Amino acid sequence: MDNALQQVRHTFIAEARELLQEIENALLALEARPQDNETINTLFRAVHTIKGSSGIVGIETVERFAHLMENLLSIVRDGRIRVTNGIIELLLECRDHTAELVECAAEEREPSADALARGAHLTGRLNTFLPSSAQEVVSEPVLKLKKAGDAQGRLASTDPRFRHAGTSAWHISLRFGADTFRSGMDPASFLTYLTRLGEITSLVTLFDSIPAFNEMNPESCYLGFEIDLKSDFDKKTLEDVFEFVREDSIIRILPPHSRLESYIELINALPEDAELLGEILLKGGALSQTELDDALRLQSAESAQADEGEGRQAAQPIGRILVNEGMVSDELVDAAIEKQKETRVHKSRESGTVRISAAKLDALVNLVGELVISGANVNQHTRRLKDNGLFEAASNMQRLVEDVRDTAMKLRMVAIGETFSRFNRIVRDISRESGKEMHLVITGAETELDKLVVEKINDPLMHLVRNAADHGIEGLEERKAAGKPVKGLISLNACYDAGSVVITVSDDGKGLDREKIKGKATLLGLIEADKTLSDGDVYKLIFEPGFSTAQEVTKLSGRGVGMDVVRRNIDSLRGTVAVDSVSGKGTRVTIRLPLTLAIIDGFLIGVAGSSYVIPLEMVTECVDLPDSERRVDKRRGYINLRGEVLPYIRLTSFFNCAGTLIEADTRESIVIVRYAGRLIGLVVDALEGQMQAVIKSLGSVYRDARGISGATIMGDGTVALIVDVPAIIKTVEEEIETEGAA
Amino acid sequence: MEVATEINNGVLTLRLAGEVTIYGASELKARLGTLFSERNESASFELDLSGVTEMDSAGLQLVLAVKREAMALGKGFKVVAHGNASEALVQLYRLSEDLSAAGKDNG
Repeated sequence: MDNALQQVRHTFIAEARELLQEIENALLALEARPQDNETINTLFRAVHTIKGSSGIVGIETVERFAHLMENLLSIVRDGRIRVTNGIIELLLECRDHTAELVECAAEEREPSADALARGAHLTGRLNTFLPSSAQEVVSEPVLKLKKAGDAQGRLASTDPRFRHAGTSAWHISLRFGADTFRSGMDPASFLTYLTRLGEITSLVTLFDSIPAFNEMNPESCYLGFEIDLKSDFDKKTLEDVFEFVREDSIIRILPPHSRLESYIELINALPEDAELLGEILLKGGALSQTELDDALRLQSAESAQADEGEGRQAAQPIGRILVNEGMVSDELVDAAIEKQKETRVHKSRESGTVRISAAKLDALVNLVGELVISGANVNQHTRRLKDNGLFEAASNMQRLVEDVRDTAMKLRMVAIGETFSRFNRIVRDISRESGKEMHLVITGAETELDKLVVEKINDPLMHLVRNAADHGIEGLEERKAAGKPVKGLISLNACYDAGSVVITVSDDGKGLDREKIKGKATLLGLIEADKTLSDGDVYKLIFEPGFSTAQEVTKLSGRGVGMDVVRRNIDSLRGTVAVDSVSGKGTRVTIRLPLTLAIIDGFLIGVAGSSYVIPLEMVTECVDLPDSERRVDKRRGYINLRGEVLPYIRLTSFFNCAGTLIEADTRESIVIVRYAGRLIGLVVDALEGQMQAVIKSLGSVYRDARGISGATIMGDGTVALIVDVPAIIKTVEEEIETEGAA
Repeated sequence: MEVATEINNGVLTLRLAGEVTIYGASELKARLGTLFSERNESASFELDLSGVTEMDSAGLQLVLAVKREAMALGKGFKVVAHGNASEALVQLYRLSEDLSAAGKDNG
């Protein structure tokens, strides 16, 4: 397969995935409000777009199936059948099947026999809703035949949109792009060439778009043509005539006997007003007076509908025209590329976004990282030179570099809401399957996280939500007996907290069973039977590999592979996870994640002659080490911080920098850091100020180095290690615990 | 490309000759622009294309623009003579109604 086509397929698949998500959301919304026309329209558009673009990139399995869904949706949209739960259920299954077909196409493999059987089954169910004329057989091998059959079926319907125009001529609408002359082309030569392919029965030159004389650019082309052509050549040949101007020009070719619907769409898509175009079509013989009247009536009805419905509808027909069956010949890959361009432009107009490859973004972030390092370098030299002008310029630049860094990092940030909304379906399905009632409440969907983090957090969250729905929420009777509302509540929340993002998954279910967990842990040899453990420690055990207390393994969870994977994934993102539970009241899992993985604002400190960096957002304050504690050769200790006991640890001894003598006049300082609600003091030799640190991984060799999460290169080229505050806090707590136990 | 003008009883006759194509479009437009200045009090324009040896769509488009501007200013406009080049293009574009050469039999 050539490259261009491959790329179009990639784009299609990425878009199809988004559209499928949109379909799922719309179906779930429809379940809550079955008569919402807006939602039904959204659904229809999404399915229609999938059908159209899959046809263009030649993924017939998807096209055929989406076509069936579209048929059902179109009768739903016309109000001919009511939306029932049965239909929503069916459409959800169809969506899943389409998703599977899309994934098959993505991996370029044939759908499995299972999938095919499911497809056939769904086709049967879809057909029961459709009038016999619109029914289709999924195994129909020839697409063209199917389309013809479809058209015949629709012909029988009373809807004038599906009637066919009587003309035997092609109708060609051309609006040449502004650069046509400048690219060395002349519309006249295309017209001359057309006369060789057939007989031009009508031609109208449109020059109304020439601006006022003073404003016109004589080298720009403003010409357009409406042409009726009697020709025996096929569509591709006619399209090929305009191959060289296809990119910038509007070219619409309607085959003879096209549906009125196509003419309506043509009128909608062209810049001129409907009356004028209608007149041209009439004069050229493309449409008869009655056909034109019908078309214009429908067209105005449609645009009125669009006006009251929403603005988006108005922009749609261009898209629809292209994907309209028969309008674009399948073999025309270039046209497909154009279509992709159009949908992309269309999409970005809607959401104001641009699709960028992740690799480009990564390259940018990398470069910004280098920029930050050399910026720091410049700063150091500036300080040495003590030149005021230079200093000012450098600090100005430094500010800009920081802005660039922040903006670049923001580019990678995506809202977590999209990930969250996928769980609606999971909760709904579990609710159906288990007969329990529950709903999912999402808050903080707008919270933004690094794209990579969002991707990696998806699976752990899915496990947690499944667990909550499957194990947390009790059955109806049990809930009634406990005096709780029958409908269980699962909530998913995200918010910012001191340089990290906190995601909580909580349910109001039965809570964790402390004794059961202990029993199981003893059985697995994780703890000793007679050991007293705090609640927190007991709950932590569920993150051990192979741990599951579920009595029965359901389809969804309880296989004991969930929670340890959750913790591993979160660890790999430098995050933490904690469980809280009250028996009978519910469970809450709190996940803490760093905002970004690449650059941090750091606080530079000196320990035994080396530089270290503490993530600035964790630093709360710096105080002098009180005289009483100074030069006491203690690894750990406590100070009185405004009436609170603050544990501290000497980093010299933590990092085993023994041997370097602490001189008598060294003034040690305490940097107080906070993480996950806990405060601890780090005793350091020198405070060296703020800096931006580009995190460089230390590689797997240093994976086991405790208290170090990475390294950064400073402006002068020396390496500073980044202090892993969470790990230090954990170590200190463990030490205190073992001391207490001893 | 050559442009000649002649004023006769309030009618401005414009004679174009040579190549009227994209290559001279900017220059021609600049020249024609003066026709529409306020100082020009001619009530009507006549265009003589009989000397045009070559015309492309950019040239024709400019002629159409002149006609439209003249109409917009409430002045008369007609093409009084076509050469072979302009005639062929007008035929192809089926613009005879818009750019009919009233005095065709003369040229």
